[in-house]
Amino acid sequence: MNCQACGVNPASIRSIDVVQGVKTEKFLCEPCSSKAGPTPFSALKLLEIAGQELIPKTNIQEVSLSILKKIVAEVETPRDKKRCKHCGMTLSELQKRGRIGCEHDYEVFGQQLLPLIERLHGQREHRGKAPLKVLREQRLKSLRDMLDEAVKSERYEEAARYRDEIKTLGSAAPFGAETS
Amino acid sequence: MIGGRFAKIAGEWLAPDGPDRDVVVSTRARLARNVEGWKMPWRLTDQERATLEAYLHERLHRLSGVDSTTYLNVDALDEVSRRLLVERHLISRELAQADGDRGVTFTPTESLSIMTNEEDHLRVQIIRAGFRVREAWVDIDALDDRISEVLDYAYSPSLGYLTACPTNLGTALRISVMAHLPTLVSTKQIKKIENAATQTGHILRGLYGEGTKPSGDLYQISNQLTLGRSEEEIVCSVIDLVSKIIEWERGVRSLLLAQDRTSMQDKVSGAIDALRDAEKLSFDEAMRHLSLVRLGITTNLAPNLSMQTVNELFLETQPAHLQTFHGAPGEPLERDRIRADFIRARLKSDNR
Repeated sequence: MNCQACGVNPASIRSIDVVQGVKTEKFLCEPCSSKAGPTPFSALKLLEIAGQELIPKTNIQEVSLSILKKIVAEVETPRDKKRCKHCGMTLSELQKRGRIGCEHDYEVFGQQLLPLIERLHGQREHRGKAPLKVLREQRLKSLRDMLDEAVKSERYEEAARYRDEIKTLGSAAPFGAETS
Repeated sequence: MIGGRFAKIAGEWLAPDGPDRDVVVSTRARLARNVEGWKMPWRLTDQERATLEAYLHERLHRLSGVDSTTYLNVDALDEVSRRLLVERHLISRELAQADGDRGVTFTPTESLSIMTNEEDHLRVQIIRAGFRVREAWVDIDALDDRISEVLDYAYSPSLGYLTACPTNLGTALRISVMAHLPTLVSTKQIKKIENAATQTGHILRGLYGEGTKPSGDLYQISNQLTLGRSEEEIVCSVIDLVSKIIEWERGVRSLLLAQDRTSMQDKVSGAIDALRDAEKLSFDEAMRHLSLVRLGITTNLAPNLSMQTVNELFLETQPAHLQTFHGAPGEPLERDRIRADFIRARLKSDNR
């Protein structure tokens, strides 16, 4: 049988993907199977990561703590005593608590935390909503860029439109707050 | 004690008119949020924590579009009052058991509550009666936008809302559906449900969440994963899974009815008799019987009882409720007697 991906090389590897509980089976050659990359996330992957001790009842909180402990054990050596200057957290405290001390820890200990986060969620990039304020700032920034661009190339009518929108956005009273 | 603050009847979310109410009791959406520039609650000194609590309370008070709210400083409450709030799903067990300044803000209908200084600075929650995942999300999304205008959230474009525990990163959205699964329990299929949930990134838990044992055949089904999927995807995945579980439970109910209606009728009638005749009832006994009565109502085997009554009894027969509203003592035996009296009286008045 030939590889089901390239159809050229003989298939030598049976690859099983489980996505949302649905199993698909493919026969691939070695180059194609290594190109396939990481399997899309499924809870089964979480089980794999968690190791036998957590099967069958996977509680993500417990997994989080156990992975965190492992990572810290691997990473922390005496010369790696990083400390967050905002909350004073160290890696070993992170391990003890299984929680971060402040929002900055995700950046300070990013090198250690990001792999954990990816293993927990099977993903590493946020895909959901953003606070209105963030969206507004993003919009303002892009408007300012467009304004600069328009002025530079002497498209004044357009520039005036951007300026108006910037003015409206910038002075907009937050609609969730009472005006007092 | 804080009993006076509540109508004796349950919050709006226990109303018996929700979609798919034969299986689903309620739907809950919660968001974890933290405020920029403050350490996580557990990391704050007592002084800082008190300052933050007062600040959050003040900001949330300015929130528009929300009914007059009640704020309670949980630290100042006695043990029974805290348990009462847990039983009403207004606060988590974690918040009840924690130390230091912390609070809860909620609306008169109790469908909205915001915990302050829990694991995260804010835990925002919306509860709806019946199977209403999308409505719960739409409401909490709008509320979240309004809160974000009075408080600056800790947020990063790549990791989303920054939470105390890495397991909540991203959307920090957890949707929980409380389902009544009596025939899946009696036919020993809960394990399968549990596996199906786990394999699709969800989790099945007891009545009060994390680590609690199921009671009255009531289960909470929630998503576990929050990063790298949008709120819409989370909403759809929970709707998908729970719809299947609803169909499954309904299928088994009709199968059991078709196979042996008599013995099911016997069980339901037995439970009603037990609730009417008992001199004393423990919480577990009451929940077990109430579960059968609820099943009886949805299968027309308990024609004289209403879903409203059973839903409310599920709540009102819990220990802190009996203590608060019926003067039951902390001592279990006496409490079991008062529970039996209360249930007997309620069923009598419900007989239409």
